[in-house]
Amino acid sequence: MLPDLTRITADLIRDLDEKINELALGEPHFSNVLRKYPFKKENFRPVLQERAIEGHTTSKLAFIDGGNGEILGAPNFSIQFNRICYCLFKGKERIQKSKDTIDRIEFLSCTYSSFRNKEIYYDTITYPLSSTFQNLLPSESDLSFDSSDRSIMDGRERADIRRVASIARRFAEWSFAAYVAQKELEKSDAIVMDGTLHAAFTHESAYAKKLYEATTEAGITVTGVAKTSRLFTDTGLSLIGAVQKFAEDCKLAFGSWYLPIAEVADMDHQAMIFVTKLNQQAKHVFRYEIQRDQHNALTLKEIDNIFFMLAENSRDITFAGYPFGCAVADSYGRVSEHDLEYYRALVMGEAGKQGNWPKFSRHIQSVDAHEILNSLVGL
Amino acid sequence: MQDLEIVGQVIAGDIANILVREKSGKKLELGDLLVAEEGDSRLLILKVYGLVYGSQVPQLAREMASGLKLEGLGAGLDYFEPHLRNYVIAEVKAIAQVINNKARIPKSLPTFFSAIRHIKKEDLAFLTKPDNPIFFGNVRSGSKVLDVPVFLNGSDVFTHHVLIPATTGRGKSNLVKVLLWNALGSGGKFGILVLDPHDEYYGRHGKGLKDHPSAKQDLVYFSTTPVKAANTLVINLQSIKPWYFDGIVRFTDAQNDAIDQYYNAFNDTWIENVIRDTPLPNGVTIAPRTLGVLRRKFDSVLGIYLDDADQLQCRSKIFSDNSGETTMQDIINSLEAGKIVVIDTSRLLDQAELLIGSIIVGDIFSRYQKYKSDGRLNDKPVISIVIEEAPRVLGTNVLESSGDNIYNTIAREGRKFKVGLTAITQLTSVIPKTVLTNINTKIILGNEMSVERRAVMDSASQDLSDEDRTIASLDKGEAIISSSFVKFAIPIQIPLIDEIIAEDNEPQNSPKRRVVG
Ligand SMILES: Nc1ncnc2c1ncn2[C@@H]1O[C@H](COP(=O)(O)OP(=O)(O)O)[C@@H](O)[C@H]1O
Ligand SMILES: [Mg+2]
Repeated sequence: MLPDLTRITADLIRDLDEKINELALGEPHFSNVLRKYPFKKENFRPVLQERAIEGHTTSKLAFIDGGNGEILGAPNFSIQFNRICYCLFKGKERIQKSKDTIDRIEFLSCTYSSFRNKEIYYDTITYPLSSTFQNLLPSESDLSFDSSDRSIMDGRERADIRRVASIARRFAEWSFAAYVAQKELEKSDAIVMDGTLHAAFTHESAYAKKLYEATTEAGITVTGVAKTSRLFTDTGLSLIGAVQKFAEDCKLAFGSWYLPIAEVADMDHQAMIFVTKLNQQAKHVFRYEIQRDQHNALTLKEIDNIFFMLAENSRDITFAGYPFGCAVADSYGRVSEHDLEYYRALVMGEAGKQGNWPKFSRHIQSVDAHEILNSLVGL
Repeated sequence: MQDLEIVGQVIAGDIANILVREKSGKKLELGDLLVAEEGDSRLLILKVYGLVYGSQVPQLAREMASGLKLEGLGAGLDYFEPHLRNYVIAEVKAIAQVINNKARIPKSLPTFFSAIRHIKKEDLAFLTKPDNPIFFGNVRSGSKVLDVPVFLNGSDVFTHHVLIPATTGRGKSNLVKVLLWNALGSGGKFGILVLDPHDEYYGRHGKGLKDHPSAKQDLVYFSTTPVKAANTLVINLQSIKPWYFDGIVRFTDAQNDAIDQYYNAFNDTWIENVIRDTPLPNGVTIAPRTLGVLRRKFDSVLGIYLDDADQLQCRSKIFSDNSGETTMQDIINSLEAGKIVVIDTSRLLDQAELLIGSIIVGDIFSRYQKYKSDGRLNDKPVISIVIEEAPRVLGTNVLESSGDNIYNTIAREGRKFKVGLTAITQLTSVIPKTVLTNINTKIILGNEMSVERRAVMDSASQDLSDEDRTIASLDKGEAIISSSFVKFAIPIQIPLIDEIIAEDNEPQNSPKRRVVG
């Protein structure tokens, strides 16, 4: 007999509806925070219009984003192509970069496993595609990880090599942000990183710290927009969803707002966390972080101004409420299959020339089987 | 290339359809001529065949954005960097490659990402003035007219026939006026016979060919109702040979037989004798009914009848038994002297007009055939016969039902004897392919009928398969010359004859661009 799919899905949806109980939104759930802000209507701040912000300055936002992709990989090595880009905006206007600023850094990286001191290690070597940004790449000693390092592990599993292989790019984003700040930004400008300010990997916070120091000195603010967020409330709802619901329930008088959620002060995460809706028409709200010390040194007006600038940049009609600069930086930084094909051909050609392709390919086969399966089922 | 000049950049495509992203605000047009520079003295000339929208924004997002605007929810929202994200892509094709000032058929793509600019006068320096030049118009890029006149060798073009296809009102007559005006200034190189059913060329009521500075010597005008300095169109019946009716008036076998008998018996006066019912010698008799039908045909075609006093009369005053003996000679001699002969046939019935044409054309053709066998043809001017509504004599159904006629014969073999047709038509599809392919130059004006465009494109000397939309969108006076005498189908703008007349008659302005150099 055929399964009664109508009944089964009906049950499923009914159960889910029951379990997701929006009546109790709860509070932001953090294991380790300095301060939590409960959901209160008074905590919503409107994103003010320019004229409403006293002493308003039109400042620049620099958006940083990067991408990486595997050129060749096996369980014991991963060759990657990495790219990091930025773009500059003042409100909705894009600002041309200065002539001598590098607009992107690109490098190949090779992550491989080795065995020493009775442990498996992951090491990464980087190969800049131009010597001009050699010194923006992370140092190789920072890219050496013990495979039992908690920060790279996936729960209790040994980390997948591809996850480790993307760390070099993450580190380079911090360095590149510092470079951009130094070259292009002035006092009261801000940097918008892609993602949170959580420097999760071992050695990462050193790179974040360098950025914080350089920017603090210059009066520049470091921030981050997270497209997705894994935060929850203590009743088990997604934090973003809960805030959205709460905002609707509050029937706010303003269409765009920001709401403080928590102040985090960990070794590797120093941030004031907000959820913000950047345009009345927005379908999404985002998690937005400002570097903690910098945030605390700002006046309310200055914070208002940052949200104002961000909202100004989020008025593109195709994605209302999402910073356009984030979309631009993302499209610049994104590594396409086309890019990968190009480097793959070069790398494989060279391996053939040097006569060690058979050796590499033995290891690749173990991953390849998956791809063959995929192609058989038409994926 | 200066940044200012750049209108687009090659981004994709194939040889038959190169895609060029338009620089914002440059508003490329259908039919625009563009150039991709390929290094020193090498360039590709491209033509725009299509324009489509391009966008970095997915369709759904665009639909949503428009929805927000339309439904009044888009206040404060806009397209960021609209010129970067939403744009126009031009579909272009290379129509000529120019290397060291010589045009060739293009066989390669422009360099990937080539910057593209509009065409300039200098790019077309290879369009030089040939021998026996006839001016057709100026090179046109879309609807922009360039200061580059297009001349073709009139001897080549006229002997290999010209087709001027277009629907009414697109400028066929004006074009013929322009061609004739320029032929008039050629100093006797072209003898052109114009059968003018609308009496529009001479300029009886306004400006016209008569206003040309050389009109006195080189223009001859015949009309049944002549004006000052014109000749009366009277054709003596004796000029009409039986075979001139071929393909124009249909006779039965019995009628043809009777015609033969009368021609054998009376020679040049055969028509008169048929009408007078003169008995044939040697006791040959023709059924009275056959003769009766013949007489009625002569009445309807030629307008000839016997009056009560037994005098031959002609309703249109064109045919006569006692005058007009020299008319044919005059016409033929004028043509042979390289003059333009305009015959006002506006008061004539269709068949009479064609018959007159047939008489003249038949005569000049046999003369030229004789010159050829005598080896004297080289000294003679080229002859062209301008005929309106060409399907009347070249249409498939006419040729099938009435058989060959002199026009058809000329289309087939006239070029050997320096006699060509300039055929004007609204309908091309009804002319047989065999005739169309013999016509080597087509000056294609606008046409909104796709069947007709197809017929023209299919028989053109260049591959015009992509020109369909362009031809459909040609405005008055805009044309495309497709010819075996040009390297690529040249878009032109034909000037308005009134302007040429005014210009060439300004005392200080001696005719400049169109006069033979
Ligand atoms: N080259 C031209 N430039 C501008 N207008 C033109 C041109 N040729 C024709 N026209 C306009 O179109 C009208 C019709 O032209 P005409 O030559 O009589 O067309 P057709 O013979 O095809 O019916 C003319 O009265 C004139 O106003
Ligand atoms: Mg006309």
